Amino acid sequence: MRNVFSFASKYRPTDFVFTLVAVAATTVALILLRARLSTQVIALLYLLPVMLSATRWGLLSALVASLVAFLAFNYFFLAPTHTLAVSNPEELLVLVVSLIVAILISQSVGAANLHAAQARAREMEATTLYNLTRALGAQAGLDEILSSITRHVTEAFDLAGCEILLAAADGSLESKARYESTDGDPAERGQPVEIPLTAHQVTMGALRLTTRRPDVQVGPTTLRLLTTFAAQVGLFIERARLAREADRARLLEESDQLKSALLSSVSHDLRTPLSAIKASATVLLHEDVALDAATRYDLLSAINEETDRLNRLVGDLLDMSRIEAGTLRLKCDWCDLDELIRAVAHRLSPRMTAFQIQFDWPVDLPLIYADYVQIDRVVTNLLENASRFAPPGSPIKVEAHAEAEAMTVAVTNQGPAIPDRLHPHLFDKFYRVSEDRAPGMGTGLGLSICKGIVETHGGRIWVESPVANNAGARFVFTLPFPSGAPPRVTPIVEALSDEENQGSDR
Amino acid sequence: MKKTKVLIVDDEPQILRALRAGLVAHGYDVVSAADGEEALDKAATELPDAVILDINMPRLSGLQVCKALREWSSAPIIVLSVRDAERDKVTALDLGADDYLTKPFGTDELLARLRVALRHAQREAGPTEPIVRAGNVTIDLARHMVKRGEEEVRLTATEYNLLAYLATNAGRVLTHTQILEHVWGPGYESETQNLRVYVSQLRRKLDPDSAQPQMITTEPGVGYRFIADEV
Repeated sequence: MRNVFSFASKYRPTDFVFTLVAVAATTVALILLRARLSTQVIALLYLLPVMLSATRWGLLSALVASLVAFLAFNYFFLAPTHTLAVSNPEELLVLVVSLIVAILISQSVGAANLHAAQARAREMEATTLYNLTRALGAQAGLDEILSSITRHVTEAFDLAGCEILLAAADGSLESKARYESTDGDPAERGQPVEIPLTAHQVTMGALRLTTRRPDVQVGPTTLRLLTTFAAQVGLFIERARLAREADRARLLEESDQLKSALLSSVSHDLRTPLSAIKASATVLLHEDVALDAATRYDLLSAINEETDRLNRLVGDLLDMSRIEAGTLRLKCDWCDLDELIRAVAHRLSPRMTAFQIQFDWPVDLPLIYADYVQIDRVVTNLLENASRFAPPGSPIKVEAHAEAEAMTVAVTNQGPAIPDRLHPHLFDKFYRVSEDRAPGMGTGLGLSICKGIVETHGGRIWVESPVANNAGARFVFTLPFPSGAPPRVTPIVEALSDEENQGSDR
Repeated sequence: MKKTKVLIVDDEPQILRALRAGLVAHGYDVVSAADGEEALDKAATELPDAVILDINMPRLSGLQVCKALREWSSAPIIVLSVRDAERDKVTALDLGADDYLTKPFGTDELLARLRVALRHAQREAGPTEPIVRAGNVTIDLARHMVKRGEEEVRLTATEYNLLAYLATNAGRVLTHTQILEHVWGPGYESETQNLRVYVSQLRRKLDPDSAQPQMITTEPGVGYRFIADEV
């Protein structure tokens, strides 16, 4: 789209060459035909290259054509030929009139051309503006839209880069989006030009443009166009901000209602184990009641188990509040998923003796880049969840496989199928498939914590049910690999050393 | 015989009460402190054989106490922490603590950790046990030989060094940094990726049939622990 907006400004030297060729060709043709043509007809025919130049190569070329045609006509066709003198006054008149006609034609054709070019340019401007404005209408977050704008502007105006700066609370300008053209020499860039972004006469930031070379200026048309566009961007940003505030207000209101619902649910969940502990402890404290060893053991086990349950609930609530507040900070490192899943299964084994836990993944499963402790939580919650619904004695299968972009992990149980209509709610806070709060039931937070953790890692989690024969549920989550090839747990090539040497290197 | 003296440090009186009851019942002599400064005073005057130290305390955190203690004492230190405070645990261990427990914990767990830490401290002073057994795996540290059942397991030098380091510290948690520094050498502390691969290989060679890791267990976010047979 280079030079789209410079319609009136530049003449290429080739235009003049073409003009001269046209006049010369006409002259040669006329010399060949001169015996049959009258002077007036020749004068008329000389208007042809003039018009051609006017339409094709612009006003200046047409004027040059007029002048050259005038001289050629005079030189070759008016007596005395091969001089610029004119002997016949009538012929002089023809010569002068034809020059005037040529100039007038040149001017009017040139003006018409200019208008057409301007119309074309305006159409281009409108199209460009439309394309830019369309980026504002995309269904995406403000940040994505702003970055797409910087890209569009850079490409549409052939710039080196474009940046959107917005005023922060303290008045300083903060870069919100930035695009740099990949081609061209980054060392050779022009001085940035800033176009203010305003809404309702208030400046909220700027559009910063960088040209490709120091000697290239941002053209007046580009500036005018971008000023118009900047006004729209300003309004758009303001609208987005207002919408966000409205959303926040609505969320606050909703979360207030949700909070009271949660509070009642949480206090119930907290009180149940507390009541059990209190009841058992007070029985044990009663000195006047003789308890047999089995009863004592029972009560003490109840206290022990309920404490664990309480601890899990507190942990879950803490996790959930961190995820909701967005303060879950991942400490990512390379983790061996094989190790992680086996460790979780090992830890849960006392509670999951009723099930056969099956593992299925290739030996060379790549490492994942994740927060080990958090992914441990996800796998733990999914296994616990599976054990709540799987019929005793049935297998619970954990599968993992790597694809190009992400690792996929699935935990499948053979419990009852989960109806489709429940799928969207399974990952909601405090959602339980049954209202039954039996001791084995979870806090109703496990899956929403999984969702929070997986999504913080940039992955997805979902459920597939039924799995086979109208039964079973498979919970699947993905963890994207960081860019670059995932390292694989491949056997390390290292020479087997002799026993004598073992341990001697480092 | 002189009783083993344990210093317990926690700012929660209920915890002190419960720990004291549990330890005294198992034949330990117990001294307690309610904050970090008191802990350092008591450690200097009472010269405990082991310290159980809460990390989260007013006036001198457990981490600072740990660091100060390690300047002059080699008594085993077990730190008490909460879930999600993996960084604190790792810091404490790297500062010289011997082990950690996540609150809430059972007294039996605490006693087991304490036993391992005390035994290890004793061993540091005397000669090391040359043979470590874990299930059907025997590690002969004197002869650099590893056997599964009667069959010798061929290990690479790095694999052997890793296993030997874990086994000499059987029962104790070792942080990723400690292992990397000891086995790979200084400058390799951040190569956890490498460590994971080697641990995975070791497990495959030593525990090939086991579906779950039992010999080398993972301490999430902290490190590894080698579980040897009780001797």
